[in-house]
Amino acid sequence: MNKFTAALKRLSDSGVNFVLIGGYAARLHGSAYVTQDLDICYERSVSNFRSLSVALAPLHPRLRGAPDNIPFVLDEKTLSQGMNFTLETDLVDLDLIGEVSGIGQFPQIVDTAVSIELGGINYKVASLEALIRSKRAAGRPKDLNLLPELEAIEELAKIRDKKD
Amino acid sequence: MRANRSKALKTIAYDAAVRYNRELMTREEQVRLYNLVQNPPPGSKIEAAKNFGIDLTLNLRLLSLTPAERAEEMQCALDFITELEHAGRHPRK
Repeated sequence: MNKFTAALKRLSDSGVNFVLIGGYAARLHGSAYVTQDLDICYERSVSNFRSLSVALAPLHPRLRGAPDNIPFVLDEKTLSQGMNFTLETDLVDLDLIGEVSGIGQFPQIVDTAVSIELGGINYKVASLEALIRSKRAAGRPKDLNLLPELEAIEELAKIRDKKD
Repeated sequence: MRANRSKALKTIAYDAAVRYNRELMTREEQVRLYNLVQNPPPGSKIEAAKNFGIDLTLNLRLLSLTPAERAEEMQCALDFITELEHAGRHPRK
């Protein structure tokens, strides 16, 4: 098990409601993009804040790139008061996204998510169409640079699945 | 009747899920997509990606793998990058 699947398994085992998004999700759909972090869109509910903080506590989550002397505790209160968190953990760099550009929050993104099996566990992964929409909406050069590849994959997959 | 229809729908959904998780292409599909990547239809997204500089043969290969295999390949690439970084920091004399 690699560090990404280990982190995902931890979240799943702790009952965290989330959808995989970002570069890792793009990779699962067939992109050649290589990413060093894991992006998830998490459900913003009190019970999920609890599950998330319990799941991540053993991995010592801290604010990525922040000086060591800045106090930070990822608990239910912190999660309820913020929206997006860019974290460093003992396993992986992890981005917790409460709202995805162009899509919305967990209920909207889970609606069109697909189920993908990794290491015997089925995870919800943002659909290719949702990833394209979010990249376009984000509009940053790094997002826009991914668009031609994702759109071509979508077209290739449609052609492949088309019955003659 | 309704039970049969429900069973049929479940079977279709199951087949789609299995296909999604395996994503293994038939030889025929591979040839068709390879030809498309080599000679993309004018105005297509495939053509746009090619003109943008994307090597879609990489994506074709990845599409013939399962999502888990795609993730595993990325991990290998990251491990290699880490090794290179380490070697760069600790060059041999």
